[in-house]
Formats: sequence, C-alpha cells, structure tokens
Amino acid sequence: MQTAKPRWTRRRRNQALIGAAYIAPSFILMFIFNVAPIFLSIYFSFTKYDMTAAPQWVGFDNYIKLGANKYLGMVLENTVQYVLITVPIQTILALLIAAFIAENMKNRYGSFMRSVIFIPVIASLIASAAVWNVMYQPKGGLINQCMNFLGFESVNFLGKKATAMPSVAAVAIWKSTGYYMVIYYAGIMNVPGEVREAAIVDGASPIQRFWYITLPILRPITYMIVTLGIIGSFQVFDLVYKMTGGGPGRATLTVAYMIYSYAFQDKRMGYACALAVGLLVVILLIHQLQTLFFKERDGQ
Amino acid sequence: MKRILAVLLVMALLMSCVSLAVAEEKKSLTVWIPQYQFSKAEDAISDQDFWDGVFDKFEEENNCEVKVEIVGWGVYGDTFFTSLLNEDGPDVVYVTDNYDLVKRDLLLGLDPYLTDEQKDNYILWSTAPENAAGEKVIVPMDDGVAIGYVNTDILAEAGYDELPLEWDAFIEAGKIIQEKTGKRAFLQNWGATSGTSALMLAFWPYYFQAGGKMLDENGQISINNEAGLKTVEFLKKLFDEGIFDEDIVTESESVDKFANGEVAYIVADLNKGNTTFTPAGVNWQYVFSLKGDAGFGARTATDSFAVNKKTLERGNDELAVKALVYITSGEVMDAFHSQIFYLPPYTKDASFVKDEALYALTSAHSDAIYVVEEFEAKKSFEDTLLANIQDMFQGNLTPQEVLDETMEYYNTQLKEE
Repeated sequence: MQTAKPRWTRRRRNQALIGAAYIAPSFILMFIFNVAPIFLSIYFSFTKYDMTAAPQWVGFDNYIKLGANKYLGMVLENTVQYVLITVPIQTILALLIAAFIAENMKNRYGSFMRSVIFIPVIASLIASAAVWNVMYQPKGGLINQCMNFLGFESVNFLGKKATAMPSVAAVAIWKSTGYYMVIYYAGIMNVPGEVREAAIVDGASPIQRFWYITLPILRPITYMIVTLGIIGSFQVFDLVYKMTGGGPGRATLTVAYMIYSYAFQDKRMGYACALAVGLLVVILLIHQLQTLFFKERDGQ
Repeated sequence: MKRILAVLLVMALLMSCVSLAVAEEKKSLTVWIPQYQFSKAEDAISDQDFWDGVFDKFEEENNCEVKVEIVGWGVYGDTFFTSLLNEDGPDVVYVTDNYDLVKRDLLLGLDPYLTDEQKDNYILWSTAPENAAGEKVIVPMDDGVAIGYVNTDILAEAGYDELPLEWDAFIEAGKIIQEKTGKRAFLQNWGATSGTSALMLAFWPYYFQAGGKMLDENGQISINNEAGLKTVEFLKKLFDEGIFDEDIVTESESVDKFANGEVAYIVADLNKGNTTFTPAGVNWQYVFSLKGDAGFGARTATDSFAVNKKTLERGNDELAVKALVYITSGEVMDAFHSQIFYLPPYTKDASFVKDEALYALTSAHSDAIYVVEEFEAKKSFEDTLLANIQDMFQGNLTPQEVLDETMEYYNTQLKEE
C-alpha cells in the first residue's frame, strides 16, 4: 500500500521557508565556525602554508613527516594517559556526588553543596592553574605541607615524570566534576518517582535502587558525559600550557600543545593541520568504539 | 536680513569646507608598544599616559594623530605577527621575534629613510637584521643584558670576599656556600614553561662563555659542537654536584627567591637589582657573568622597533619612520628609562644613566655581550632543547644525547628551509 506524500501546499512551503529563515543565522554561523574549519584544515594538511603566502600543495608530505616524528608516539601516549585518568574519574565522581546530594540532601544544604562543587567550573582556568601550581610547589606548597604534617615526604608533583601528568589531570578533574555533576543531578531528579517508590516497596536498598534503577535510566546522560569528556580531554592544552609547558622533559606534552607549537610558534599551518586531522581521526575512532560499546550494553 | 543670512550661511559652508580640507591633510599613525611599567608605586606613570604625553609634541610638530596601543606581554609575539598580516595592522610596532617578519618581508626597509648620522646614533645598528634588499628593518631598542647578582651576606657567611667565577671554582664554592649557610648557591629557572624564557638566562650565557656561536657559516643554528657540549656538561655537573637539585625542573621563581635572601647567586635582567632586590632589603652586588673557557659572556635581548611595510600603501611611511626615530631618540628614551623602565642608553644621544656601576660594568665588558640571534623555528628549537635538558636532569639523556637529539629533531621536524 502506498502512503500518500504530504502535499506541498503554498501554506506548507511558506512555513518551511519561515522555518529555514529562523535556523539560517545559527546554521550559517555554525557552518563558518564549526564545519568550514574542518574542511579547511583537511585541505591545509596537504599544503605548506605559513599564513602569509598562498598554500602550496605538497600532497602527503606533511603526513609522511609526521609519521617520522619521533616524539609523536610519546605525545599520543601522554594524551591517552590524560584521557584515561580524567574521563573515568570525573564521570564517576560527578555521578556519585549527584546521587548523594539527590538522595540525602534535598534541602538548602544540598543546594549549597551543588554551588560549592560548581564553583571551579566558573573559575578562570588560567587562574586556577596558577593557584594549583603554587599548591603543588615542592617546598612550601599547601599539598606538601599537609603531607609533611601527616609524616610523608615532600613530592615534586609537577617535576617528576611519574606524577606530572596525574597532577595536571587532577586539576582538570577538580575543574570539570561540578559541570557533569549538575547534568547528572538533573537526570536523577527526572527519574520517575513511582519507579523509585515501587522499588522501596519491594524492599530495595539505596544501593540497589541506584544500581538497578538510577544508573540504567541515566545511561544516555552517561553516554553524553563520556563523549564530551573524551573529546575535551583529547584537546587539553591550556592547563598544560600554564602548568608545565609540556615538561618535565616531555612528560606532559599533549597533541593539542604540539599542534599549537607547530601552528603558532613555527607558523607551519600545514604540518599542524596534518596533526590536527590525525587527532580528529583518533577521536572519531574512539567515539565510534564508545558508541558500539553503549549500543551493545543496551542490547541493540 | 535674508541677504545677511544667506551670506553668513555661505561663509559657514566655505569655512567648514576649508576645515574639512585641513582635517583631510592630517595623517594618522597607530603605534603598538608592550607594557613596560611594572612599578606599583602610586606616583608611577602608566605606559598609556607616558606615550600619549610623549606623542603630543610629535602630533603638533607633524600635524598628525598618533594612537598608541599598549599591548600586554602575554602572547605578544603572536599578537603583533598576526596584526602585521592584517590590512589594519599598526604602523609602528615594537617587535620581539623578528625572524618570521623579515622572512615574510612584512617590515619596511629603513635605510632609504635614515641619514648616516641617524644610523650611527644606534649603538646596536650593526646587529639589526636586513631584508632581501640588504636594508635594515628594525631599530634595536632593548639593550637588556642579563647579568649576575651576588648576595653579599650569604657570600660573607660562607667566608668569601668574592664569588669565584671560573666554572669549576664556582661549583666548588657553591658546595661550600650550601654547606656553610644551608642556603642555595645558585638557581636558574629550568622550570620555565617556555624554552625561550628559560634559555635566555640559563643556557645561552654559558654557551657564549664556552666560546659558542649560535649560527654556522650558512646562517643555520648549530649547537652540537665543543662549546655546546661543554655547556651542557657544565649544567649536568651543577646538578650532579648538588648545586641544582631535582626540583630545578620546576623552578621558575629564582628572582623571588634571591629577593627573599634564599640564594647566593642568580642571573637576571639588569634592572632587577634596583627595582626588586634593593627594595627587598637584600645586600647584593653585580657580577658581569661567570667565566668559561672563552672568558666572560652575557646575552642581550634584541627587542626592537620597526615600521609596517603596509605604510607604503597607506602613504604614511615617512611619517612612521619619523615616529620611530622620535620614539628612540635620546630625549624620549631618557624619559622612558627614568620614568617607566630602566635600561642603559642604546643611542649615542641618550644620557640618562641610573646606575653608574652597572653602566661601567657593561661598558667594560662590551666585547663579551652577545645577541641571541634569530633563526627559523627558534621557539620550538628552544622548547626542544629545554625539554632535553630537563630530561638530562631526570637521568634520561647524556649531555651528548641532549645535543644530538635537539639538532636531529630540529633538522628533521622543525626546519623547513
């Protein structure tokens, strides 16, 4: 049986035109600032381009040179290490805090707690990095003073290869947990009351309710938070720029920092774009894997 | 009555046309200068007020309008580079890194505009880079030599009248100073987040003291040589002998620590003594530099003023060069050095000398002051060298590997020409 196509009456056409006019400004801006730069970057990655003269086509030269870059593997490893530290911790912390506040602090104290945990999100990142730099100081830094008070020896958090990246990642976690916590909190508050009440009547403990009801319902939110977290973490630049400059040695050098150096310090846009395209491909692959993982868990 | 009114209206119309014509003749200039006023004193004049005041006279004499923009130091290099690419970039600009500007021919050649007398007035004129036509494109402005400071109290406590300056003797004295006083003998900012910031005080001076030259006969950076190896080995020895400790890779506050009386010797910009250490109550004295195999060696900055080449299209090139000469004249720079930021005179017609002892010291060692030269991908080269030296401090590289890896990475990944 054939279904009748909707007729394009004059009225419908006008409505469509008006709708298009409404979204056009946002669409144009998004195209200029989000979509076009991606295609331009892909084009520049096949050129030698220094921002002054017209780009010169060099084929795959930038990619071949990138393949021979001896520090690229190390930098990718650092970036993945950063992602693996930040994304799970900030996601789990945000979920636990949101669940705790939603369950036990449905009063003004809960509201106060949410505000306190959200403060780092609105704090300037560069100022935060500067403050944490002081707190991490090996001599006289607040964290080491506390450690000394508890009988531990001082640690040069940002000066040791083993601790530098986790220390930078800790600041990122501190900075972003509040943001994800608010999203989770809104999700938890939307869990239907009757489902929770039914579970209580059935004798489910708070942990069981969280595990079997809240968590599955929050799966779409978790998917979004993990996606945002991975994309944001792969692009980490500002914290590293301010806190370590990629050091000690290259212990905290990340892909985004490397892109910045090539693009703006050396004015080698083509080479930097090749690296940026590589990063885009890595992020897309991981995103694809993550989507598959969530679909599988959902039984789709 | 109507006739009178008509005559008055015609006169007013004519007068407005005349004034419009006069206004059209008035040229305008935009000048970019970074912040140099760091004094927190209440009576300290701001950069903006200072330069606006300075240009009042110039505007009057040249019937022009000058707009001065004070730009912050954060990413100043990137800011002025991109501004010079734009159509509406500044006419006269203070530049820090000039390699890319010269290579891309963004600066006006100054030779045709300046008389021999004017060129001769600039002490560092011969060091200025040239464009493809062989014309100088900048006027060196910041003659900021990095110099040594000694805390005389710490030195006396350790039993020294003078700090031994030869490298090995300095290390031995450093060990004694640390042992007898419990204070640091020497600090350098090996934890600076930018290679350029770290190396200009913590590497290049020693490289020059070891007899190193930055560029080879082809104008390419080359440090993998005897002087380079001696320099990196000296740094390693400072670490191995305990003058530097493992925290050196995050050290970025050596000036503050010297001002707190925690350090016996540091290398810092030459105005730090009067602006920071004396107000902090530290008893200190100048030392020109340590002494390597090739003798003394200190580096000087190459910050400068230049004119945007686009002034040729704008038709205000002559006025822009005139402004450049005016800014760097002895009269203006004497005022700048006395009211904003102290530096020794760098033009022969300047006379303001705040610190005679310092001036005598730098004049006596003028042959041991070296300019840190510009070359392709310099910042990334310096980042690479900094990272490799930090890796050496962490026990991952030998001094020779530091040089090998730095040059190999530079030649295969950073250099394009």
